Amino acid sequence: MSLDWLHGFSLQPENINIQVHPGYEHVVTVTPTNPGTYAIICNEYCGINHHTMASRLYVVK
Amino acid sequence: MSVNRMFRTCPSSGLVFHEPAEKLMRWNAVAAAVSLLIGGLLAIGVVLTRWQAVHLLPADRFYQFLTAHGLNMLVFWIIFFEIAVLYFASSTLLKARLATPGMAWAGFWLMVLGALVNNYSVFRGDSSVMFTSYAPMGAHPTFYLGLILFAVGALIACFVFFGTLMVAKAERTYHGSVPLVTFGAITAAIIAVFTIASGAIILIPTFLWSVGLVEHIDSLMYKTVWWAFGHSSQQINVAAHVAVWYAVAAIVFGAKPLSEKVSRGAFLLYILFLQLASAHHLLTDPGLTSHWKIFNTSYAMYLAVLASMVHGLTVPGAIEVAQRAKGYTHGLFEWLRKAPWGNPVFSSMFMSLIGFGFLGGISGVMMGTEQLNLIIHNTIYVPGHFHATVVVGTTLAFMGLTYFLIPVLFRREVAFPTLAKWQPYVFGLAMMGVSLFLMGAGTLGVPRRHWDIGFAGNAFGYEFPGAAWLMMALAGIAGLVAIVGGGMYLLITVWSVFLGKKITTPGFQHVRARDGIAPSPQPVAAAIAAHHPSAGAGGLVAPGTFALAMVFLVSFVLYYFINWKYLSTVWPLK
Repeated sequence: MSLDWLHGFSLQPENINIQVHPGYEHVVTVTPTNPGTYAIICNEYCGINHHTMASRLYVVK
Repeated sequence: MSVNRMFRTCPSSGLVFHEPAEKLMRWNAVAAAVSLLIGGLLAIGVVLTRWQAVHLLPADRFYQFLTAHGLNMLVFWIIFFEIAVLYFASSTLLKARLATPGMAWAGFWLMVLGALVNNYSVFRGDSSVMFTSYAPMGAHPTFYLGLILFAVGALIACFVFFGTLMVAKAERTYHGSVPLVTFGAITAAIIAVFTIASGAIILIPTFLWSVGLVEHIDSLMYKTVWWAFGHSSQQINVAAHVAVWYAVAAIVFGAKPLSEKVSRGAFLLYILFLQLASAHHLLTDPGLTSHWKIFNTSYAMYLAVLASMVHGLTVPGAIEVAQRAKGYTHGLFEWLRKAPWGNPVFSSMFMSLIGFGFLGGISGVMMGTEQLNLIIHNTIYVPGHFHATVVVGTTLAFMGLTYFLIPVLFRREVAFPTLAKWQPYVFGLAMMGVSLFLMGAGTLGVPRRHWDIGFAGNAFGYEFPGAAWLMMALAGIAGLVAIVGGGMYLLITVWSVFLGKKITTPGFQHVRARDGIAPSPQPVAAAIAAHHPSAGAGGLVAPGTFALAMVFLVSFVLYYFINWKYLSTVWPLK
């Protein structure tokens, strides 16, 4: 769920892309198959700082 | 009020133009070309920014240019041109007077006003909300107002088109059923009415919200209804450019459709299974049930895709039959080798067909498959897909038709004929490159509508693989070549129309047609308007086309499985 407007959840390099809406909980259960460091980037245009919206996901054994 | 019944018969083609309809077609075509010019100039900024090594524009300018590029190309250029096509397919092909030219002008000026108001809002700088303008991200009220005005104008034009069909029927200007090209235009217009209604349902409340009269616009509701407008409008383009394919096959080759019934049935499928394409934008959204997603992306999709494959088969099939009848019967492909590749009307249309089918069609099916959509949604694969469908498909087909219309409609010789011969190849091949490279980058996860995939200065940024950067650079180079191709088109058309050599016919004058019934048709007019019993009744009449279709299906299947292979390596999720 987003707090302001539309965003896109994009997990790289797995390339899993999911739409994120304000006011709607979207529950997706993911089962990682490989440990490592993954990137989460926003892939729905959300304004001038769209390209700064990025995060990390760590998968450990 | 007296009705203008003055007609002109084109001496070279035999086509019959109603005086007010002719003027409206010209003005709509000119407005289309102006939109294409604006959209093309903006494309330079977009292309040179996404090519990361150049990275020309700052972020705010980039998003502003991208928004205006989308609107001017996808909405204003294409729809102005389509209105000209609608008037051509009704008034000219049915030899009927245009119903209510006054209303048609009102529609035209509303569209011009709407386009100006919308562009004004984007160039103000506070409405860089992209073509989709997803609420609750808000634009200036004039953004929505401009689109609404434009849509009302387009709706009026659709009704003038329907009115003209009624005039033609009432005044008995044709016998039997309407020609196939007109039938395709009717399909486009019916879809247009549905599209504009959906647009009104969502854009009017959003406009009221932007001026503070409505408190809340739900994002999921907006996105769902908006796509009933956003993608259905692309189905108008498909129906329109397929109608143009049939027209060009008739104009250049005198080709007869293999089976009119099948072709008409295929147009009907477009209307019946319209939603599938809208659905693929919603596949990764919450809220919609799996049942809905599965129905729209499997059953509905097979039938609508089937329709495009039918057209993709019957148009070259019809050309093959016509060419074989002229004696080009050696081997599988002599008919194709001996086709007039130097005639831009033909080369544009044929590349439009191939590009639309192979690149646009196959990639569309990938995106429309619920599971595969997960690895494609909102990546730059999506612009890759629609630059194949709407640019190579629609725009290139319209460019080809323009080369036919310059002498026929504008009565001018095409300027720079050598340039015109090359223009479809420069534009078409470069745009196919853009489309392929964007799809390649999208497969590697590069997002669309993104200013900086280098994430400069961001500790959490992601480093895309080198191949993704290479693809974006290649797309940038191909994009620049395509812009040159678009510039060639504009140079040729503008020069021809305003400065080109006038075609004069001694003793020419407009003739007054009795109750709208115009003089008997001549070659080209007859070919477009004629009806034919099934040409393919006895055995395989178009083996070359059959071979091409097999190549298409094999590539389709292979590529489909490659994508499933990619998906199979992704983490399991539900």
